[in-house]
Amino acid sequence: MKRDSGVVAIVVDGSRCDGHGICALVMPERISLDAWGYASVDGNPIEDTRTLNRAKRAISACPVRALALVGPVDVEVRLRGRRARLPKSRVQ
Amino acid sequence: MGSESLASHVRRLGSLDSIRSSPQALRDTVRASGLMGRGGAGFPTATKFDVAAAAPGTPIIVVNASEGEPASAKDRTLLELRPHLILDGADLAAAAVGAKEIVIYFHRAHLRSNAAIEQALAERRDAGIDTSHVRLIDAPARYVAGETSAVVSYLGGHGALPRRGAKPAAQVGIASRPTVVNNAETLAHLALVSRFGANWFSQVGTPEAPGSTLITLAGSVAIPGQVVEILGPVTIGRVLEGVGGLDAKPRAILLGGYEGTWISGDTAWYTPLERHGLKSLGISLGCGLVAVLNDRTCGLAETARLLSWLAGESSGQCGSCVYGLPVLSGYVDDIIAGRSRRSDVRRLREQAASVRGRGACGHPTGVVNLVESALDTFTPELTRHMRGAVCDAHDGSDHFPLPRDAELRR
Repeated sequence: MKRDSGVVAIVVDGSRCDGHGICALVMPERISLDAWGYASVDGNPIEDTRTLNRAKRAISACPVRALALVGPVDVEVRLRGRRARLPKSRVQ
Repeated sequence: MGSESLASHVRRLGSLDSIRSSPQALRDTVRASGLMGRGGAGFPTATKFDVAAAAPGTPIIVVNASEGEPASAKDRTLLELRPHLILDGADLAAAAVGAKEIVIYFHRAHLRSNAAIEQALAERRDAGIDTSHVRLIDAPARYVAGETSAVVSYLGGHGALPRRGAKPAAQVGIASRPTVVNNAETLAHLALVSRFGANWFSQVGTPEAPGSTLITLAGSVAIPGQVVEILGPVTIGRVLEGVGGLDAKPRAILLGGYEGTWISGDTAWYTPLERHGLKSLGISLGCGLVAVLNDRTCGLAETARLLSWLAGESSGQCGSCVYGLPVLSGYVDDIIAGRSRRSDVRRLREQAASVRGRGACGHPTGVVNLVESALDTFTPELTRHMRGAVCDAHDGSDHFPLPRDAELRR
């Protein structure tokens, strides 16, 4: 991703989320767990670099890769090829 | 009134050959007409076509007549009575985006529309019209199976499960090819727009939502399942008086489908039945279902009944849907059993709010719409239940229809 600011938000793919809950430990101000332990994001845009970096940590902490960043037109933002480089064996 | 034959169709509207034009000209006509999808989301058809035409790969056209809403009948009725109009529309959509394959996604179990489409294809073959590019595919009988991403998943050889993709199906769909999933009614409109032009189309409807709209009447009306074409600005009350056979305001109306919005009869009676105007009130016309609840039936009991079925229709992928919907259903069951306190209703509202917007498709959010609008609309009933009044969700004669197996499971 070229810019580290702008209209970027975290989204959670509910069909992937298994409720590990690590994301909510890494980024409790933006990600919470619902009554059943599944991740719920607030959907507000990420505006500063610090928040973006924390979001990236939360995203890469997810064992089932249920989280992603989306850009202005709802397109998935690549994390410098991190998604592609994750070894298959780590995907549950 | 039976299925229209090819001869009658051509006599009435002219053959498809007479309106062949370039893909760009076709898309321009659709753009100028302002045609919007009639499956529920109301997405501009021209935009979908433009995306598919520009995307890499040969596009595929899907005619979505699966109509998962149990009480809706507009698509199956259209398929049964005017199969050639839908086939024309599909061919025109294919021409507009350069597609070479058409899939008709519908329910074979609906025998009249199945017979009509088979016969229409046979008539076309006999008349020398090529139909080798048209495939008929039987849709699974599930509520969410008609959602675009579920359609794409099913036709790609997987389960009919909604997916959350970064790109729309019109860009990356079946086997990564651009896939245009159009509602059957949308394609019928397309067949007419291409013949009579954009100006003709916008003579009815409203400037923001041009063209006529098919709706289905259900519940306490003269003929449940009756499909009505709405041509211009008209209130819900006028429609219910005119064709619904009602002589007084009903208790309430469920608008847009089982995941739609309850509106009290007093309000609904004077509300215009028009997609754009309803949207500005925060109400979706959805698939065009107008389900009428009489004042002998408890709206909360009816909601409990629909809710219990809808919770079971989850595709089982997302935790908030799998665990959340049964919880909402349980709360409403408690209310109608007279077992709830105010604090339970407050918790129900909190849980409902926490499920809104979650999941890979609109199913959980739709269920929340049903629950929240029921609590807002049936306040007197809610108060009675708080005082311990008991309702049974399973008695009463004018229930909204559910698929038969759901009735048997009870």
